[in-house]
Amino acid sequence: MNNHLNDEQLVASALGESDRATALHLQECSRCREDIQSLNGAIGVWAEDVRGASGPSPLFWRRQREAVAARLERRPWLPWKNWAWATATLTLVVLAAVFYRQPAPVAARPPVDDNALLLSVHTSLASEVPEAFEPVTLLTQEIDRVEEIRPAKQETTHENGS
Amino acid sequence: MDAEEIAGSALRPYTDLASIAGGMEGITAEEFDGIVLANQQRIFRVLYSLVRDRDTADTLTQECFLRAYQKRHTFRGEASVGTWLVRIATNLARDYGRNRRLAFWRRLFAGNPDERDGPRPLEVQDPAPSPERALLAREQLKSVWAAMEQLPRQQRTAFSLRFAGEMSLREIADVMDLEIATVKAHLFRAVSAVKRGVRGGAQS
Repeated sequence: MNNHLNDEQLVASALGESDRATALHLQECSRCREDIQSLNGAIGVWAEDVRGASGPSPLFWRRQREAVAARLERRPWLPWKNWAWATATLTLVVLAAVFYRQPAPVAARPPVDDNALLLSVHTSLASEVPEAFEPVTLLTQEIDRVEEIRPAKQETTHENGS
Repeated sequence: MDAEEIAGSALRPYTDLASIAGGMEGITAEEFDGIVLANQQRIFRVLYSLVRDRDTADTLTQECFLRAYQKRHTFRGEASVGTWLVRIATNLARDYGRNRRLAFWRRLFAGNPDERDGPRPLEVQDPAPSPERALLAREQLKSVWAAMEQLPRQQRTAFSLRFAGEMSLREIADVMDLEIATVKAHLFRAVSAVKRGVRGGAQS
């Protein structure tokens, strides 16, 4: 026979998914039958190994059930534990929200107008005295004015007296 | 409870109890013990096929039932109890695999060469009376396990559920939360890999 089953058909057969044509072919072709038997045999040996791992004794299963029961008794399920955790977490979140102080907002500086800046620079450069000495300049101007007024008053007094 | 009683009880269809179909909230300890009895062998087989260690499979089987009991309020009866338990078991096996990989890297960086070796040697039971058949079976078994260990997680899980858990495609799809077509694709690839492994083992 020339047209043997391909891998896809063999695997499908091992999975119990083969079509009628494959089933008919397997009836006639000993080589394909051996192939599929080899695959099924290997998987069967593996499954048997898995089954055998638990041992033939029902005591194994009994001991396992007893262990489960004992662990359930030792570690009873406490549904309130979840609620306790949830409540604790929620409390922390609320406390954090209440006591968290936001830093004072930094006052936003007004935007600097380019023209005003240029004008202030120009004024500063055109001034005879630096800006820092302007109060002193004002004071000296005031003193000068007072000095000018005082002699004028004295002259008036002399004229009246004479 | 003696062995006969255990064997008899295992046949009781606890997985389809009407009282459980709507949820397991109010299940009694006795009913839960019945669920353990009806499902422990399949859960153990699936876990053993995934972790390949008897003690670990035993521990994880117990853990599976403990988790099921703790999360019984989440069971809504959409799938059978058996399917729900197998889903918990496969999740446990996945977590165990992750932890084991982490442990491997920890051991590797810790520099303990004694523990860097591969899986333990096969402890194959003699499945056939004649020495030739026993040898053949050992070789086949070795090939299948070797191929299994190389499979991606989902393919391996699908293979285990099908051939160790003896589950239908529909049940596997429920457990793995996949479409049946996807399960078929995973199984197809897994069996193809096993077939290549068996063929390679026979030729060498």
